[in-house]
Amino acid sequence: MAEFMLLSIPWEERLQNFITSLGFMGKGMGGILIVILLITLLVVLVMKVEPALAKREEARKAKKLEKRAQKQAAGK
Amino acid sequence: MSFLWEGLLAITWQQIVMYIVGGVLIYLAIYKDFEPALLMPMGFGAILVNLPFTGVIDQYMEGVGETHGIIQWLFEVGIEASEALPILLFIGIGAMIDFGPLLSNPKMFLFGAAAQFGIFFAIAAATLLGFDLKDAASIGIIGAADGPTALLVSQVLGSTYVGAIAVAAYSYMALVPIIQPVVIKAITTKKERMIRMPHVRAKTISKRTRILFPIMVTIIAGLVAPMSVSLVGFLMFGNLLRECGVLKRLSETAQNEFANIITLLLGITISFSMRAEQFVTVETLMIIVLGLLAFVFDTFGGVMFAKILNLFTKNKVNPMIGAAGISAFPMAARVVQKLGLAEDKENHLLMEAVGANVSGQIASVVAGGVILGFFQ
Repeated sequence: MAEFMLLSIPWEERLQNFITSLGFMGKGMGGILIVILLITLLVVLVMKVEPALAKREEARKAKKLEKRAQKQAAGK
Repeated sequence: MSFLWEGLLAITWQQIVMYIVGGVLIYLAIYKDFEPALLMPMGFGAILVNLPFTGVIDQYMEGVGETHGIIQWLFEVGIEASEALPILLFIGIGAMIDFGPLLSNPKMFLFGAAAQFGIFFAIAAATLLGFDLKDAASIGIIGAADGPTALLVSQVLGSTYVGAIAVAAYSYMALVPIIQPVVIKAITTKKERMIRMPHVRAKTISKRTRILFPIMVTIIAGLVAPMSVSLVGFLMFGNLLRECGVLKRLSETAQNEFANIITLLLGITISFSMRAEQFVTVETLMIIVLGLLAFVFDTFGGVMFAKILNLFTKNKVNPMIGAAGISAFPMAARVVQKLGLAEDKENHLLMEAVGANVSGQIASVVAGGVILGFFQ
């Protein structure tokens, strides 16, 4: 029966697996945290740069409109 | 007349147990509204695959020869051979998620990571119970609170307990509103639960940021945890469909018809791993308990992380926000909002909780990839 299979696993093997799993815990949580931290940093960076980019874009658009208006005025 | 009795006499007690399990899942889905889209097909499938000489599973039948069953075919093609069904579902999930609340308050990202602690706690506990490392990791991933990730990881690692893991993962996701308040109340004081957080204005997130976000996440996850790319990549692909603004039709299809078809097939396909001989074991009971532990320690990890953070920061975080870092969306966020309001009628935590909750969705798929990476 399957239920006896787990009971038959020797304690040395369980402890060895347990120690490996503790390693997984450290590496795993560390790995997840690194990914999340990197994402967070990039998001913060983008959010910081974003207003400046938007401002520049707006200025470019305004300049374009101004040029068009000037052209139209000159055409008249 | 004997052929009429043949089926009836061939029923084993384990199959009867599975009919009851199937019935309970259908009951929970229909009458308790517990993840009905998955538990209902799974419950019905559990009955279907456990009928004696069932035609939905490949088998050799006396006088008939070899028969090919639809559920076994779906399982072999959709899950075993390619893991296509759970991965494709991520496109739909990604298209459904609005990362706006998270992008408004990037600090919430950290809670998604902290609330994955239960995964590793359950892995450690499973090894002590005698499960080998691959099975323990497959069981631990129940704590990702993310059905498709749990399915994918357990399938890739070749676990024999896919059925039990799927049942536990989806059942506990539905039980979040019952599990989490108990744990949160046990590890926080009333004073902590009443902490008001400085109101973060819901910033307007630019289209550029919304488009860059899924691309950045995919690249970072791909570089740091390459095994998570199929999960994160498809999740973020779905999100890019949503945010790009030029594929509205595709985004709507991914959120609705596509996700519905995959969900429908996924539920009934998983039932292949709910055959009596595989499911009715002591290990299944252990997995159910370990799954609960995983959810409990996810909540514990998130709350404790918030408490530790409070030791070093000026603006205190309500520790309950940490509990919202699990992937079960939007249940975990709602639980936190409800508990916050129960302590202080004017303490609205929903915005922050939703941010942590969607962060949990990213962190859980990254966790899946990280775990797969251990066995590469």
